[in-house]
Amino acid sequence: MVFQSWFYFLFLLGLSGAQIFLLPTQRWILLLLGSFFFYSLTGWQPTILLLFTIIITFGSALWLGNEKNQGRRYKILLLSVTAQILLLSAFKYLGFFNDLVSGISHWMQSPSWVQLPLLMLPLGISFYTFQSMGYVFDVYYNIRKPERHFGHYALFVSFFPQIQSGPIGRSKEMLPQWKSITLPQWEMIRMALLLFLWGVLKKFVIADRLGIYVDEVYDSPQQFSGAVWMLILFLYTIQLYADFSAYSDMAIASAQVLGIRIPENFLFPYKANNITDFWRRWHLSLSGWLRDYIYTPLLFAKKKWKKWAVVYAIAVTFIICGIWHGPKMTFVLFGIVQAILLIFEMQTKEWRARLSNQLPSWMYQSLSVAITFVAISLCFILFRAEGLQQVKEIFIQLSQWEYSSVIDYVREKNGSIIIGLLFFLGLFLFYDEKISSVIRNQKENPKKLGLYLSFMVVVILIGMVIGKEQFIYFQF
Amino acid sequence: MNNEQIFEKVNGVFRTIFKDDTILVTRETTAKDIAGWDSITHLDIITGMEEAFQVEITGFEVMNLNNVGDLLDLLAQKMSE
Repeated sequence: MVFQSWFYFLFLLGLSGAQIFLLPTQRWILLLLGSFFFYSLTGWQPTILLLFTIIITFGSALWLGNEKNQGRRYKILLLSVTAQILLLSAFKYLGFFNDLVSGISHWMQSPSWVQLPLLMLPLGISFYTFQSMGYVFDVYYNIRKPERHFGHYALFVSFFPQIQSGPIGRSKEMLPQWKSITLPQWEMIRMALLLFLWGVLKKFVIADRLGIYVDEVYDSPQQFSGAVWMLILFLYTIQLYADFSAYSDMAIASAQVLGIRIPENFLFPYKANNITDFWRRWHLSLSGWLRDYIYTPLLFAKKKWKKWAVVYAIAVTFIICGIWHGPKMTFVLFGIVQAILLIFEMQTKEWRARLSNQLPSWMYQSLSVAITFVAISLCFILFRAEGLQQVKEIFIQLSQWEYSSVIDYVREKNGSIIIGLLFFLGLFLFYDEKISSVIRNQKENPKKLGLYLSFMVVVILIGMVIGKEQFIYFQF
Repeated sequence: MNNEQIFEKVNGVFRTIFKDDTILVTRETTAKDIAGWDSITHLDIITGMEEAFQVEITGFEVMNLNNVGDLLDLLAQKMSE
């Protein structure tokens, strides 16, 4: 069920309204039933798999809690994590294995010796697997005690606003909320409604519109010159952010209507002045998860290697980050490129600090933001391209630069619409932080908010007339 | 070594790593309170503490450190062992 549908909106309002008739300590039951109903719409097999994940992580955490011997605790952790990775791999990475086998067979000029049957990818499996795995890590590291209430734990893993595409919740923030759920005040509901609408607007009006231009160029890469490609790369960078942050805003708003707080996922990523900064602003729930459960343990396990420990931890963490996104070599390469850029930044930190002292601060800051944006746009080719062959084709096109081709392209695509769109995108990026703070401010003047609300509804209606598409992050 | 001496030494390590003699940490100090305290500096802090106190801090123990207070307690516990 997509968020931007009337059925979802009614489902959310129905649950929110029904909560009034229950005691704060009973409301979790309604949310759990609602979450399982929501997930069961994807089919009974994925629901059984979700239940299975809940049972194995709940059980292994209890087992960890009862075990005092550190060696045995480590073995329990390994068992639990392996079981989850195997489950995730069975549904998500068999295709990757098949591609690898075909690639090797092709290279050896022999027929593929094995091709495994592909299973349907259950909705949100990467997200809920990481969320439940994070909980097991928390219990292992004694960050929290194992949850003894199965219902509360099942809701933590299956909570419907988050399960499709995150934000990946943390046990210490989420689990205590189920014990007693206080219904939100009117100001909070108003804020949630505005945030939800802001999400719908970003999805329909920005992301889906941009998708039309991006898809056309990606469908026939060789027909467009380097300059057009660069424009499209920038548009895709904005599309991806508008799409995914729209989803996250709608998830946060949905939870707020039910009286639940879930973490923010973005911090204006295109204001980042380097790649390290970008990863502190982009998909925060995933980058935080990777930092706490992969990067930090790896770093401190090899701390005697000093600087090489950092290189090692960054490389492994970002390769995992790449693979997490999907069973494609382009994602693996995306992770490797991020790791190289981060290590480069680590090595040039002092040089960059000296440079920043030599240039006027506004110039250094603007240049840094612009360079980071271009670098991210180039990296996102790996995110969007069908395969390595297409990546190669795009880079060949990028090397054939013709400025006039952009003007021709804009003319051909009805210039005023494109220029209007670019102007709107500029406004969006420039005012993103301001809009976000207005929406999240509960004390904002209600009349002003009413005006914003009406404006958003009008823009969304216009967007809806033109068409709609799936969220990009659903594929992960 | 009493708690006060441990605190003085810990503060000294922070001053050396951040090259700032005005730093005065408290039990509540976290990475958010000191500019430039990133994961690489965190590694330097832990190895700096290991050298200063001649102890070993495991990755497992690092995962449980939420603020300087936790670090002081961990060092005090290791010194008493």
